[in-house]
Amino acid sequence: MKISNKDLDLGLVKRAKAGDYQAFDLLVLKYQSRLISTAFKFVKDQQIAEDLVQDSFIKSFKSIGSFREDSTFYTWIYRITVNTSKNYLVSKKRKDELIQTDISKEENYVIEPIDKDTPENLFHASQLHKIIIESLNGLGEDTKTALTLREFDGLSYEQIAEIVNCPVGTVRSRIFRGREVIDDAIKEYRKDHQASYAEIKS
Amino acid sequence: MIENKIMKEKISALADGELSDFETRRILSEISSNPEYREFWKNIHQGKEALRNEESEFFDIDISNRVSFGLDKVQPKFSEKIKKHKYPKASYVAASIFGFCAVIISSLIPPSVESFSDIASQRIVDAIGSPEALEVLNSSVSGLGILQDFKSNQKGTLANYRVPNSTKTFKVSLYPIKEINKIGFGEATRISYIKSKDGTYVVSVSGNISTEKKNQILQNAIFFAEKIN
Repeated sequence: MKISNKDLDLGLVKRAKAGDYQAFDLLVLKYQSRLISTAFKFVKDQQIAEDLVQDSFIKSFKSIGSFREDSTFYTWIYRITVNTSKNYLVSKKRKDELIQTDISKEENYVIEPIDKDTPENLFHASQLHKIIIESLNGLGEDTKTALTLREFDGLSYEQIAEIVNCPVGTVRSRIFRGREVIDDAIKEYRKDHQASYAEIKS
Repeated sequence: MIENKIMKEKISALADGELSDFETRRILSEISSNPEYREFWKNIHQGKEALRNEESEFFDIDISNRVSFGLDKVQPKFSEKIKKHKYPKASYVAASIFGFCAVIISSLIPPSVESFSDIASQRIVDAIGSPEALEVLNSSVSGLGILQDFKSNQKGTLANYRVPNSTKTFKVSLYPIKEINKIGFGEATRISYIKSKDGTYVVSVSGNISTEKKNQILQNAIFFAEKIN
């Protein structure tokens, strides 16, 4: 049986429900980037998108007791983020109407996500994907097999251990070793990414 | 080093839902308190997303501190838990920098401020120029900017930041009030004063970001100073 994402988050969600903020903090770290992308599609402004996601996480933690766990945590927080973004746009529209009564271009306020797949964004996305695939391909055969079965096929450590005929602990170590290499690659990419912005700036 | 590897292996297992409840309970505070572990956790998930071609272009942004601060304002008990682990060095800053009750004042310096600077202790001045002072500033701008460079000495700390995914830049500084001439005041500069029994300090934010963001950074700085007291 595969491990679903719902199951992966369930332990942390249960802890958060019991008031464990450290568990919730890991969910924030895990999903913040994707949710900022979601909010950005609506508001087209990165700083506002970050604010909206911050609000969404705060709302979700305050009401996490009402999360029924019949969907994934991500689906739930995603809905909260979308609603928070839409509410922001509605509120912005009202404010603007107060200032400027003659709003003829109603389409400016159509509450639909915009396409963020600009060539630059697609380039960065594909670059990171490429770098991680290269890292994966550079791993030893055993490590690569374990990580591939986990990441692409979603198999549990026990299932992987059965397939490759080794102890579960060995699978755990191999997957970790693979992730260390990928971690280094992401760090390196992030450094280059930031340096390229500094270069543009100068 | 070995301990670090063991911990990271556990974090990797946690990301796969393969860690026991007991072990999970034990490592949560470790992750919260260690930036390296937090980054590793974040990178595991970014790696997973990238492998599925679902990565976000905002991968280098971290608003987790802002979320915890925001929750602390409404539910202090939760962030209080995190604070103890997340900022171990901050306790030094706490002892050193501010014994504070903080106030935001948007007007100019009162005439009596010189007396505050006169009584500023060497201990606090040392802390102002310490790496921990930079940590205070970094905590204040968490999620809002990426540190580009900084200058720090016993007379103050000045850090330059860049807004993530943008060429906009801004500066945040922390000086004892007697060094206020170090701040290049302009129309866009926002300042606040942090007054303690040992002296008065000035936090300033200037640069190419909105007034709202500047105020938020100042509030974060004050909030953080209060929390680490």
